[in-house]
Amino acid sequence: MNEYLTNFLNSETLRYFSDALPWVNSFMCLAWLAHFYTKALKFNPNGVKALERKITSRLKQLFFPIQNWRFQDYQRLQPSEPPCLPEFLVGLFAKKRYRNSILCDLAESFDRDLSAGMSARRAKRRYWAAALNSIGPQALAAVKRLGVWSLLIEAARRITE
Amino acid sequence: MARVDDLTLIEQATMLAIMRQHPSAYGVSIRDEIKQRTGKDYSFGSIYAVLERLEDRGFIKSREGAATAVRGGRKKLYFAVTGTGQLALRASLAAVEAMREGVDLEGASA
Repeated sequence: MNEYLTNFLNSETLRYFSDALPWVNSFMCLAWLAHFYTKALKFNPNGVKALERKITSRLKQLFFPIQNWRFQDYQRLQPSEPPCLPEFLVGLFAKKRYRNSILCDLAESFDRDLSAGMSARRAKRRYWAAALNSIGPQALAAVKRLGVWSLLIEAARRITE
Repeated sequence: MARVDDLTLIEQATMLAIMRQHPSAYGVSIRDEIKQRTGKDYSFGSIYAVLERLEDRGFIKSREGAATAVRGGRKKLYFAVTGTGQLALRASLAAVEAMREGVDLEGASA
């Protein structure tokens, strides 16, 4: 008998039912609420309707900000930072003395775009374009300054530092 | 005749923009000045490559300014044209003027 009970407690069937128990509970609660609602509606229809209206208006008040929530508003509320990948790429080839200055100028341009009412997405696209346009001349200047091999070694050093 | 240090168009424009913006010429203001006056929109990479070249040749000098809140507390790098730079610029512009003298530019009607 003891062995039988142990096997039953470890069985997959019991596990299946125990997993389903919260769902059965929820379903029974909903069924009970529906039953109670039907009874209350029969007993005092006007009172139930008035209560419904009260609850609905209260819920509307509570969820009003969510009801009128738009993704654009959310984006506008988020503090926008310039994307970091183009920053890294520009910083890779810029001369050490000018690196911080170039990145700051790009960031200032980005902030100016945002202050002008541009969306964060468009400002980021413009930042990407400005950064990619800056990489070419800086890389060329670096090649002239260091030579190709030295430039590659310098880039590798900056990545690893 | 004094030796004319060759300056390209963008180098001339950059030096003139620095002189116009003196004493607060930095990357953004230089680029804006060039864009406003010539309509050419250079990237910051191009501007700084030119500035690097000019500074190496001793035509301009740079100094770090105070940190500003607009730039997240980071310092601006201000540029100024040196005496040598002004001489080179004057010579370069004079060379262009000398070449232009007596030439009638008729534009589209030519």
